[in-house]
Amino acid sequence: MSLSHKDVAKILEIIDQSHYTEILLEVDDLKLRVSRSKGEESLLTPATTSGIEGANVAAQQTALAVERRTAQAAATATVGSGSGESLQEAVEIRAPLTGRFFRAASPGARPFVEIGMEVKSDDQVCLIEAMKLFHSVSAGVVGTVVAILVENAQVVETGQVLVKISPTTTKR
Amino acid sequence: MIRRVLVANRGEIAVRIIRTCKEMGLETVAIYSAADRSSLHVRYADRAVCVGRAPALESYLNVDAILGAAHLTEADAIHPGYGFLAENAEFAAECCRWNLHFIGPNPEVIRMMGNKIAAREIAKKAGVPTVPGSEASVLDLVQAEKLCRELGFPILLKAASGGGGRGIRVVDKPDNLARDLATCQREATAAFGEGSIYVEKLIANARHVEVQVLGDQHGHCIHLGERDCSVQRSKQKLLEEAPCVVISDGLRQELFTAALAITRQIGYDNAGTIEFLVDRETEKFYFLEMNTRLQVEHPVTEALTGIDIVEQQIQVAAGAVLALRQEDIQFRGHAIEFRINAEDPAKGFLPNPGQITDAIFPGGPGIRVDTFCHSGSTIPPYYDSLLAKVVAHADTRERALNRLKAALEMTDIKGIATTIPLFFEFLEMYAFQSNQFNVFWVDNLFRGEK
Repeated sequence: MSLSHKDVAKILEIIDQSHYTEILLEVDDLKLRVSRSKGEESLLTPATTSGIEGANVAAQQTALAVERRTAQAAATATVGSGSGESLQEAVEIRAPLTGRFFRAASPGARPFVEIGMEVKSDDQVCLIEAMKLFHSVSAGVVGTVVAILVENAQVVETGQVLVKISPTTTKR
Repeated sequence: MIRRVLVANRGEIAVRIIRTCKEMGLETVAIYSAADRSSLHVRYADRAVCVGRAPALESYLNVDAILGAAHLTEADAIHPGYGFLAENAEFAAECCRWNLHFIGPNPEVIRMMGNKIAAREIAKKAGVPTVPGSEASVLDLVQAEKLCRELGFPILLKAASGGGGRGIRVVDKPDNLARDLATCQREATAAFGEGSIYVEKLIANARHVEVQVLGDQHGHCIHLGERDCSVQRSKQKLLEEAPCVVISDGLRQELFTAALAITRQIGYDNAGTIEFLVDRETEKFYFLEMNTRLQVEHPVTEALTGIDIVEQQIQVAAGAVLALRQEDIQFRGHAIEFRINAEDPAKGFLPNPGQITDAIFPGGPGIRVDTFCHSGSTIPPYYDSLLAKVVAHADTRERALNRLKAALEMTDIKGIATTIPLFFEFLEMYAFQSNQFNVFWVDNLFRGEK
C-alpha cells in the first residue's frame, strides 16, 4: 500500500481537528505515526499489532495548531520512499555497530528522543550496547525526530536504520 | 570431595575450566544462554543447561537459574570463572547454603575485598603501602577539593564498588573536579548500585605489577610470582607478561612479602591476585586492589611455574591442604599473553560481534591458545569481546616475543575485525621491545587519533 501526498495532507487535517496529541496508523506494512507533542513522553508504545490503534485523549486543545510542521515531517518519514518528494527528505541515523539498542540511559529513565522532538546535531538519540560497552549515537543533524524504528533493547545490525530525522532547513 | 563441576561461565574461560576438570576425571555441567546454544563450552561439557535468554542479566547473572541448574544436574561444585558472578559474595554464600562447593574464596573475603576502600584499610593493617589518597569515601565537593589540593593534580576518582578498571576517572585540573565528581558518582550508582567515591593520587610513570597467590582453608598460602600488566588501554589490559623484568629482585621480593601479608591478614583460601602500582621514578610500590577470583591472564603464570591454577582451585575448594610449598615453586623463562578481542583498532576499538567465517590458530612448542572460537562460530554482542588468548613461553623475553610474532603470523581470523593488527604494531615499536613504557603508554599512543 502506498500513500500519496494528498493522503498525508488529509490525515494531517483530520488530526488538526481532533483532540488527540498522537495518532498511530498501521495498515499492512505501512506505519504512520503522527504526533503534535513536543519533547513529551509518548503515551503510545510502538504498535505491534495490525489494524488501527487509538491514541491517548489529552486535554491539550489549546496547543492544537502548534506542531503542524512536526506532524507533517513525521508523516513524510514513515511514508517511505517513492512518495512525498515535495517534502523534506528525512535523514536516516544508522547503527555504527552491532549491539543492543537503548532509547534511554537506564531503565525507567526518560528516553533521549521522542517522535516530534527537535534535536541539535550533537544531541544523543540512543545508546548501543555491544560487548559490555555503551556507544552513544548522536543525531548528526539539526531537525525533528520523525521515526524511531527499533524497539528498546532489541539487537540491531551495523548499518540498520534506527531513527529518522527531518532536517530543519535554514532560512536564507 | 568434588565429582561434578558446574561451570557458571561461557567463552574461553569455560572451555579452559572444563579442560582441567576432564583431566582430573571430574564430570562437567555447562550453562548457556539462548545466544550460546552452539558455543564450544556447551559441546565440551558432559551436560548442558540453558539458563535463560541472551542478555547476561537473564542468564549468566541469574543466580536462581544457575543454582537450579546445579540442583537438576546434581553438581556438587560451581566454578564461577571470572566476570559475571565470580566476585559476587551473595552468590558464593548461596552456593554454600545449598551445599555446593564454591570454587573460589569464602564469601566473607569476597565481600571485604569487593569494597575498594575497605581493601585499602586491610592493606594498611597488613603494613602494605597504598596509593596516597582519601581514607574513606569523599562526602562532598568541599572535602574532595581540600584533599586534591593536598595530593596535587592530576588525581583519580574511583568508585568504591568498582574494580577491573571500571569506575575510574582522571581529573587533570581543579576546574574539572566538580563536574567529574558528579559524573563519577552518577556512573558508579548506575553501574554498581552505590555511588561512593574515593580519591587517589595519579602516579604518572607507573607499571601495573600483580602477584598471584594461592591459599587453602587451613591457613597456608604461597605466591606464584608476579605478572606485568602495564600495557592497558582505558584501564583494560591488552597483554600481560611474566616475570616483570624492569624491577629489581629486591623490589620483587618486597611485592611477594606484601602480597602474602594481605593474603594471611584476611585468611584467603583460594587463588587470588593482588595488584600493585610500581612507581618507576621512586621504585616505591602501592597496593591497588585484590581480585578474588581466577584472572584472565593466569596462563602466563602457569607457563612459568608449570602449575595448573584451576586444578589447585578445585582441590583447595574441596577442603584439601595446599599440596605445594613455596620452596617447590620454580620460575622458568618468560611468558607473554596477547588478548585477541573482537574489536577494530582502526575504528577506535569498536566492538565487532558477528560470525567468524574462518579461524586458524597457531600451535607448536611454547605456544598456548585458549579460545572458544572456530570457523563458523558466532560471536554475540551481549558479552565481552575476548575471543582468544595466545601465550608464548620461551627462555627469554626476546625469544618469547619472536615466538609470539611467528604465532600471530600463523593466526587468521576472518569475518570480524580483531585486535591482532595492534599487536603487530606493538612488536615493531621500540618502546615495547625495550620494555620502556608505563600504564599510560597505549592511551597516549591513541590520544589525538579520535
